[in-house]
Amino acid sequence: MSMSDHRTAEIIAAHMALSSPAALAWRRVVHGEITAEEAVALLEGDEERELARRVFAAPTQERREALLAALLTALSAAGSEGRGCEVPEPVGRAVRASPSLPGSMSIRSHAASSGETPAYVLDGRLRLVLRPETAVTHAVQVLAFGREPSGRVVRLAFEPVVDSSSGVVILEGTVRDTGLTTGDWELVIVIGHPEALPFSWDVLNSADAPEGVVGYEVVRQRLNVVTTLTMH
Amino acid sequence: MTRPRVEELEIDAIARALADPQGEAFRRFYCRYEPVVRWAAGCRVLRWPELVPSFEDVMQDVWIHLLRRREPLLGYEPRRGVPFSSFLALVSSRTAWKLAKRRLRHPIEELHDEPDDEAWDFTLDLARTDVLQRLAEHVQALDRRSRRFFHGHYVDGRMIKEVGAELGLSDNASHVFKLRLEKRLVAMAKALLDRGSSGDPHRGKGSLLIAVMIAALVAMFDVAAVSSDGSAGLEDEHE
Repeated sequence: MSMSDHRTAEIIAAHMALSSPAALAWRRVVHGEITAEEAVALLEGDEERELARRVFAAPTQERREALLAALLTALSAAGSEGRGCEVPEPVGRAVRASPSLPGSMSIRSHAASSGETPAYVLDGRLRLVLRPETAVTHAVQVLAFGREPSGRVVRLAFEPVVDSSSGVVILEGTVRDTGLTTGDWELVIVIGHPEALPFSWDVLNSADAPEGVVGYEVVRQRLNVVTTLTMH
Repeated sequence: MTRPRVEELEIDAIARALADPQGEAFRRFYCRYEPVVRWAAGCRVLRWPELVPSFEDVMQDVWIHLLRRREPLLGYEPRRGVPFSSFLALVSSRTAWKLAKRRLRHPIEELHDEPDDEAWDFTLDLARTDVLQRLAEHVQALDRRSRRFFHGHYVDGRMIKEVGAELGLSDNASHVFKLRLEKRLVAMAKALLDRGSSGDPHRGKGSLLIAVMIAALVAMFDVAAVSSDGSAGLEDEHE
């Protein structure tokens, strides 16, 4: 899939969303051609009209100036031309290179013990650094699962940070917030192209994964989650 | 989508605005086009009533996103015949859709973002209202399942797995279905645009990017002229 595939669909959808009778009525409101009340009257029966009135009410000149000032402050704080603003970015990015990940990933964890199975405190932080053997500069996306000895599997809620210049992936968060509970776990981390990733545990482990779609790697790490650490 | 009723700014004025968001040109740009962005973003955010109380925050995010990742706007070319406000509305609408889904913590695999150098040629060609209208008609003529998926996910902004489940698809099948649907739409769009005749040697030369670069250079020259002799660099200002 080229990147424009989903963009094409999104642009068509944007056009459709802006072409509905309600959208056209509210367009007239934001441009001052009719009042919000007149739009509401036109949209009799539209359940969203009261919410829409709040959204589309044209700001007063003073309010618009205040909004502009806030925007400029936000841009200024972020540096020249707004680059570097604290707008959360998705990890999923363009697929721009061959669909294979060069080399295998090594994993480095920051555990509270140096034993064979690292231990983490339930209310502490979990930080995993996944480093490819050679730099990966194309898009990567990450899925993380936790599997208990009983076989129960949970999808872990990580917000991975990907260094696009090297392919290094950092998974970090409070242990509890990831979905892990006390006990032994096997982390199963899937890294690869956004398109190539299996979207569920079942697909990951099924033999009928989409043919011809490769380009992800699975990294496993055992760990133990405890309520408190026992010092020896 | 019919054209927003906006008296368009000249391309050079838009270029000056985008070259320096802290300048007066941007103030004029903002005042002129704020209603366009508000309308386009509002039409998408309205789908999620829980986001309405924080709509102004979403608006600011949309503006920051537009100014920070300016590639869509900088790729704009007046010669393609799409009014700037129409293109801005489409880009703002799509951006608001993405940012709203992000705020609602929809899965990241649904929120692809483009790298900075991603080409927008094809999207600019699509942005003509007549082309989009034809494509919208094609969507309405799709089979029932594809049509429902398109409306559920792309228009209403619901999660892929949620829409897919309603159609009897597994999570993974839903994503595969989405990819295939996108390819069908691209094929439709390419057929409509007759891409075989796309070898335009002048393509890109009239883009807003060039105008912005010129505006930025002019601004730099002005600053240099002022700083070198302590006075304004334009002779007219001494008269």
